[in-house]
Amino acid sequence: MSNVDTLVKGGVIKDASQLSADMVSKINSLSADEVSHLVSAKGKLGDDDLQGHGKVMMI
Amino acid sequence: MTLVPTSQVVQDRLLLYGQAWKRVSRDLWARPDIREIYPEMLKVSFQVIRASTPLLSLARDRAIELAATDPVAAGLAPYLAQHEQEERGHDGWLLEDLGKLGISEAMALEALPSPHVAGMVGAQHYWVRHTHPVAILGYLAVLEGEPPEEAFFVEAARKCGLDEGAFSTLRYHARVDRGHWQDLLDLFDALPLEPRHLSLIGLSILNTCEGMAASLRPLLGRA
Repeated sequence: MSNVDTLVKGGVIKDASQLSADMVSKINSLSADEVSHLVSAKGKLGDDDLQGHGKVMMI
Repeated sequence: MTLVPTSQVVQDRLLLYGQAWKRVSRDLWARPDIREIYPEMLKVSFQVIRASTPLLSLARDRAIELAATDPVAAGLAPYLAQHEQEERGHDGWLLEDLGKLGISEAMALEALPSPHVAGMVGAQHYWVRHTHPVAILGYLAVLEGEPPEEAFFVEAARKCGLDEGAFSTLRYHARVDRGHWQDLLDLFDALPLEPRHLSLIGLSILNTCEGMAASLRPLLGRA
């Protein structure tokens, strides 16, 4: 199962069809430990944080 | 198959994991009451930055301990020694900036850091001591990566109508962090990182992004 599939199954990614091919590639390169944490910490980053919003300012 | 440079892998992680924190930060800066919120943002920054030098010292010492038998630690130690010097005293600068907003050193030190700040920094102490000091590079990538332009803070000071001196440390970091960021990217590409190191760095980036978002998010709820 790919990382994207795991994250969809875990409810982290709601709609994989919205992901660009580049984003799918980036997500599928994550380690198993990172994916596991993303699933267990679902919601901490926000509902749509893996979908990408472009770069904005940080403090 | 094209080998992706480690620096690009790190930037990909920042793109994936950094959105929530950046969105919170963007929303805070866009608030009409940013004048009231900015001192609270600066207090959070102080609570994070006051931990930087001790954390860098710990990571440097751990890297030196491991260096004889660990090529990643050997490559890491000189960078951490230099960066510890570069970051030294910046907590004092932030106290001066807070002072320009009427927040004394005693008030800044009395404010209890949230569990989010403690957890974010505390995780680094754990990983550095018990896993590998390379974890700190993920933390630094989040805090120093992709810095805003100094002009952003000049405009923010004007918008807030606050003493420009209260933005001195952020403006300094906007100037120098671009160089620090490039140094860090070069280091990522120079270190002989294995998959387990990259996974640790990824978790470190993820935890730091979560910590920063969680630390700042309550400020959005201020009336």
